[in-house]
Amino acid sequence: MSEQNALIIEQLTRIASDLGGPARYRAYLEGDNVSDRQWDALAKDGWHLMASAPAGADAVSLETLCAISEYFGAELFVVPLMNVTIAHALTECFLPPGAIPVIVPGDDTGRSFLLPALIRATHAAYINQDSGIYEGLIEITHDQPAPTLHPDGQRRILEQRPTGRSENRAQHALDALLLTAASELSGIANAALQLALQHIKLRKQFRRLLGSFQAVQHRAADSMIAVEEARSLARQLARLHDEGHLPAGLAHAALSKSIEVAFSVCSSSIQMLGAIGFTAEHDAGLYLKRTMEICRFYGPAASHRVRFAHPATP
Amino acid sequence: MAFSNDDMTTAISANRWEHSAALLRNDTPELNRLRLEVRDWLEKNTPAEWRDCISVLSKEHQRAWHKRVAEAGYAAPHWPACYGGLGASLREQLVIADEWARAGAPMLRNIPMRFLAPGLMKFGTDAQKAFFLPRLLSGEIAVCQLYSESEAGSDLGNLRTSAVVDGDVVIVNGTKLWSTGADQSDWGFALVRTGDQILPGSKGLSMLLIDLATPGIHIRPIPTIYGDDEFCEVILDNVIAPRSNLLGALNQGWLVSNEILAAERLSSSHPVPCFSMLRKITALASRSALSTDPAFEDRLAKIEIDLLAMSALYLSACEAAGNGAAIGTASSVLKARVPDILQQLSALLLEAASVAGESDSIEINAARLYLQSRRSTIYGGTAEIQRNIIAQRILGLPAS
Repeated sequence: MSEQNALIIEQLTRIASDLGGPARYRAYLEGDNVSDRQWDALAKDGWHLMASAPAGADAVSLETLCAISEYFGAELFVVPLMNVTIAHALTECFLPPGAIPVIVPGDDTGRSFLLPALIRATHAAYINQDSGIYEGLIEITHDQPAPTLHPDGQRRILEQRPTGRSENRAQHALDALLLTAASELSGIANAALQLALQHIKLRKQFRRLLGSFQAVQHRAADSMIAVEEARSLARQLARLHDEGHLPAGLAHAALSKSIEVAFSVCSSSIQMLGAIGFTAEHDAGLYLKRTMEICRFYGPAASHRVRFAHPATP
Repeated sequence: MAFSNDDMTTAISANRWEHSAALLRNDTPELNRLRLEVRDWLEKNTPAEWRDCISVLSKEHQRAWHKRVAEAGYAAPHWPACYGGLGASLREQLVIADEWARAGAPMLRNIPMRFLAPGLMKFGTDAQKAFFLPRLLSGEIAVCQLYSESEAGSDLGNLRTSAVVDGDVVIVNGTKLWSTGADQSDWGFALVRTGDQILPGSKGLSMLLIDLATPGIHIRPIPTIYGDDEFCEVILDNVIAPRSNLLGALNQGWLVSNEILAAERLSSSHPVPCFSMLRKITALASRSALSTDPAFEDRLAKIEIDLLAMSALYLSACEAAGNGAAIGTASSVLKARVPDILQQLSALLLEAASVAGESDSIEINAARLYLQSRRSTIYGGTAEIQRNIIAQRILGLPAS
């Protein structure tokens, strides 16, 4: 990893810890404008344009974006910076000045969800994950109360479907997005596990630390194994993507793995915490809620397994 | 793309596993050159009747195969060049292992090459190195491990085989169990109790090299559930060994054995055997009704993704090792996870062979592979012990 990329990771992880964290995510769920503050801090320094840097030694690698995504996940950061920056790199030549694009991963049903934190987005690059086809750039009209998007109900500003190389670029961008999402989910899972580990190292029952019981130890070990696998898969595939060798469908494999791992590890952490983990007061549930929110956007693990087994060939 | 049944008619292709193996085969030009060299050599030198053979080769065949492999220089890729190895990086070792699996070529025995040899290099005397290393490399002698006992399986520190030092010799008495290939071996390396009593923390143990032709040794093969006499009971009745056969210092056997295990864990945990089984499953599925069974395909995709994740972890560990970083976390995780995946794959293979009407196929060997894979969560530290290690040594949880 270049010095430049290491520096970017350092700066963005600082922003994630300064403006993220469980308390802010809780406030966000209660309607606070956390996402506005996060967005302002990122846009001020132009971080949403970082993936558009020209290729070369200083280009931001996907491996770097994945490393940052892990931190963003762990800090429950709500603004999907990676989506915006990858979307910008894909669509910048079509966009009016100041536009904020996002990639919306759709499917054959034609309907997709928008993340609430994407409310500032002005344009959606709608990509059908089932076919790998870039359906076009859509101007988002925020006139619906529910954050849903239907291409047929929106005004398309680019009716003409890009051809050949552009379609490959769309698949390339979609793969990048899926891998950053996989990394974000592994970061969420790891943070939930760390929360549970702190608890079982301190809490005593039957005059013994909870963490000394073998049943609890094995649950914790299995969670750690799952996190390490999900994290490594996303990172290694990101490197293949950077080198231009990522086979079709493998990004879906990584996201499918991370979705399952995030659900199981977050749930397992609540189990290790016991009743306190089930309370609204405790932070453990926030990691599970964030996992559910992200999965609503990308679709379930099983859909991604199908796309892994039947890679789209645009 | 819609996912109706019509689209599933060519769901599983025979070469689909190659798609998943892409992660492991992202070779540099140098690695690709090595891959092609190994592939070419295996193509020309592997006897057809030994390909994809899961039975243990006879002693004579094993020796002949080892000799041929050694002459080509592939017997000990992981050994440093000064001992006659290739000094290969973990990534290069993975390439060689991958090609070995692709060709279905017989493996060389792990215990002498991967366990004893690194121990000799680290703790052996000059005389021990000079005697054993060239003979292990050429396959002239076969070696087994003499660790477990009836009361010392997972709890190895509880072993009772005694070794009394008497001048220049050591007199050994006890019974070892589950010694893989002891009946086909010339030497054994034994963990024995040289201290007076059983002490906590496995103190008072020593590592001793024993010539299995010594009077007082009785070896009884034990049939396993899959039919081979894979492991043995070894009775040691007043066996006399020279004191100079101690490997490492007296009463430092636990240290020696742990060092050997730590060095070994990563190099033998590569995912290649799993890909080998995956190759068989996809070939079977592609020529049976399973090819259009969405439920089977989903299970196959799930296990493929798990295998991909494990491969990614292996590559991360290789990189960490290459950078001189600690590989503890990844190697423990791999040791805990590889057997799980191998067993799940063997279950899928059994099912695929049954649906394809090839349950009795000697080439596929599904039933034997299924039974054989039961051992993978037991030997070398059970799945439960591996999770204890992760919990206590990596996650910092208190001892039970």
